Amino acid sequence: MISISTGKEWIIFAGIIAIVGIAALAAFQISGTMGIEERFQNALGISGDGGKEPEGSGFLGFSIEGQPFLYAGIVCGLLILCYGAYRHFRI
Amino acid sequence: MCCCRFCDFSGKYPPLWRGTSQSDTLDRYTSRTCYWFFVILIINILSAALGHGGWGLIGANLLINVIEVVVAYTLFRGLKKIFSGAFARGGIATLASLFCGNLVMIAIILVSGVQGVTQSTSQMLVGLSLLAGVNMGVAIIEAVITGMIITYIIRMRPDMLESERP
Repeated sequence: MISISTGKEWIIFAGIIAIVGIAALAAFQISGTMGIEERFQNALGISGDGGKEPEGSGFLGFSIEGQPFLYAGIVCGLLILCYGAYRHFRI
Repeated sequence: MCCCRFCDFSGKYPPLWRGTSQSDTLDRYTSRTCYWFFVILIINILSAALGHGGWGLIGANLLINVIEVVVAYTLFRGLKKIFSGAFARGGIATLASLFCGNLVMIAIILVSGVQGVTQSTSQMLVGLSLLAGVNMGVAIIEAVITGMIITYIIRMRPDMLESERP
């Protein structure tokens, strides 16, 4: 049986989302516009530019820290592991 | 990870936990938590490889994520009498679990401390509360997407969700 949310449930969910959204917007207005690393450093009062990335780095706005080949190796390993588990257990 | 919060890993999947207690419910809960643990561990390793959080934070992130899935699953099951629909129930459970995750994150930082901090505990509490507030804005998007994924799973693979089986 597919359970579809009723109108009352939608209203309650929308109300919770509205309350959380207003609180989040207020927090955003107070703290200001900044990146996640900068926001974290600002919250704790940590100095330094550890969270800042050099201009033009990365690919399409994404940059990988450390060794890219290590990342590729982990991704390949996980893919092989997931495929093997998928076939073995017939999920 | 959204999906693994609600999926039932008992039955068709290999048991990671052999029941030792007198309670079948407790054994199934523990087995499910083992699966959650491994799913979250793999996600955190991949996340660390991408540079999000870093290798040294896998333990803390693992603790936060496990608490999130336990809260989400418990609420998803527990709220069924109040919310019959899975979309709203899953969304609310996700929002609540991410709120708890933020609280745990704040607690870990305040209790363990962070190197190089120049602010007092109360100042850090205020700053981290604002950070958690902004995080909850993102949590709204995750809650809606999770609700949609759950609705999709119920339509396509209802056997994956123990509480929604016909």
